[in-house]
Amino acid sequence: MGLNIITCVKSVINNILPGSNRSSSANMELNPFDRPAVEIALSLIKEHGGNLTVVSMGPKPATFGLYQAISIGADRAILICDPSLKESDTYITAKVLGRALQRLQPFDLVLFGTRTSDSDTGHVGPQTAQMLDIPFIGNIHSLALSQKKEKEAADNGIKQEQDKKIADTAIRQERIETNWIVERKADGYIEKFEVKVQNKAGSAFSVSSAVGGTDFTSLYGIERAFTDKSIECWDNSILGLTPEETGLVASPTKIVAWNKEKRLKRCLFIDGTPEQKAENLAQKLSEAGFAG
Amino acid sequence: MDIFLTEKHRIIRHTVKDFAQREILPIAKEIDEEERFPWEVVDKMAALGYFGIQAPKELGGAGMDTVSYIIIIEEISKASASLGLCASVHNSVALYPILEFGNKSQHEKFIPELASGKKIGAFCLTEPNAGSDASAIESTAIKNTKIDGEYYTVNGNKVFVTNGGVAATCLLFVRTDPAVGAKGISVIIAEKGTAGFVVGERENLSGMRANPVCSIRLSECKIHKSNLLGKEGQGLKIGLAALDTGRIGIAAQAVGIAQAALEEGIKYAKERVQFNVPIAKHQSIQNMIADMGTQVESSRLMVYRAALLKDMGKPFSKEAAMAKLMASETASRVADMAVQIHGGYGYSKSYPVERYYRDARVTRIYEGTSEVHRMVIARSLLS
Repeated sequence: MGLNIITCVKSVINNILPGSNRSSSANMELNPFDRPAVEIALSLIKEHGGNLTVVSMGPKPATFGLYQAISIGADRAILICDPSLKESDTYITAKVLGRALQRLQPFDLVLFGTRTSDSDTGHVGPQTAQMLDIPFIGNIHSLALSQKKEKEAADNGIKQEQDKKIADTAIRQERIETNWIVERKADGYIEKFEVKVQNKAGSAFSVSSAVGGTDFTSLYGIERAFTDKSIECWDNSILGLTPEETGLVASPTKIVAWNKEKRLKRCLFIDGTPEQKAENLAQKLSEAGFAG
Repeated sequence: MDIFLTEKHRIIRHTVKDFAQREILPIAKEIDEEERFPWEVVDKMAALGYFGIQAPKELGGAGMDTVSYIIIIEEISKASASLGLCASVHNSVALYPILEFGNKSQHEKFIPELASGKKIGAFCLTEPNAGSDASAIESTAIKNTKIDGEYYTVNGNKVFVTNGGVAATCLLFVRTDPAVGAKGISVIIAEKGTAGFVVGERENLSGMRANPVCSIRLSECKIHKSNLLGKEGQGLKIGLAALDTGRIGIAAQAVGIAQAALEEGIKYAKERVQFNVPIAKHQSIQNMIADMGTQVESSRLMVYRAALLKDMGKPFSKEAAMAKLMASETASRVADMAVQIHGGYGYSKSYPVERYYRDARVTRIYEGTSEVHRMVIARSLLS
């Protein structure tokens, strides 16, 4: 019934204290850039029905971000956790996520944040879509199911309850027919896409950080997450992966140096009347890419 | 510091901190200056479950434990002590006693509307002549058995009622039997709108100015006997049980104020340059920061201990009293030092430490003064 949506999320490290363990639940949080992807998924489900599965790859403390996601309303949470995954680059991460997502097929949508607050690559979304051989649009601002197809999706759901075989066929038909109407803002324009997915397993989008952000997590949601839900842990054996295929050893890209960037501080005086100053300041900030 | 907290407790702190920073902190200064109760934020808090933190889920609450409760109160108070006070009083000395001592029909009638924040609760014990000596209250609730015996006629004056201006459900401490002293005190649930229930003027307080602390006058107010909480004569027992729990909340509130003062002190000490260096480089400032941090952490640990004991179902009265004494005195000292670090600016409303200084002071007075807490602690240690 309804939509089957997957949102891939990451628990990021928000505060590394000197001498502390790099990752523990004391310093992790749901990547703030992933929250819009969870929120947009939930709003689609609110409108069309269905369920949301959140998937993350990370160490045990990464359950933190998943619990945050189910506190907001996700139905199911999966942590891909295996010691051999440590220090995987974005390519291997996408490969592992892709393998996990194949196990979750059929689904209608895979959503990502645009990037992470701790490593900022933005690679994982598009790479995972590539692994799954499904279309991808990055940095989207709105997402809607075309109204014409909505009814068919609901009908298919009823069939699914009656007969799984028919339902499988029905779901494939639904994928052939499903249209996503997607908008993204770029360079002062709003691009509108129609995404038709033919004989493929869903579509993938990364969601702009400008989406959502007005909802707060309720105490009811947190309580429900910890009493009614649990996080499934998938290791390499479930995904059919060997240690040689994952982690640092398998990663084609490696960080070889990590030095703090030296930033030059500059002091700029802005003259004029208060109105002119405000205008000039806004312009300077816009030129520097901080506003506008 | 919070090594013993669970993942759930950390998510609660993260969540409430996020809410407080985005919704409460931006208006904290303004609501203090304007003495305004911010319904627009209170309604959001209500929808998120902040008014039924420990109430059972089946009665519309969030069903959380005491440790969760104190984390929430600390984080709200860190942004605005007035709102932390509102939530603390509502949850622990209004809703909790009804839950603990109320019957099934009282649970069904009062808890869902309190837990959802549709109605705000208050605790009306203090009177002009009865503060630390609660047994000296003069308000009366007399059942006239000659007429029908169904209603109490309540008369009296209650002062310094936290949430008083907005509360719709008030626990009134009254004498149902004026002849028998402390044993004649009972608790009656009064509902705003009842004839003879009059909300008086707002107190012009030094701190907590966003909370509508008012007097409430009961004048020939007829309240049905079904609103009696527990039994007649159980008033002091109910009051003490409520205050035991309430103390943990007020202690958490004090920790929140102290933490905010500590953070502002550190921030300013790093910014302010005197003698060509940030004042944080001066040892006298460093000593203050060290003392502030140590005292805040000690207080928080004591508050957690009291809350953990309560969650474990163990006696916590002495520990709650110690936590409240320690945390409230810490809040006053730490806020005072934060003002000192700020110098003249700390005495100005331009910086938030001035508000913390005013807000901290009352935590040593309400829900049991420091002196009464020392009495409670000494009695326990000497018994």
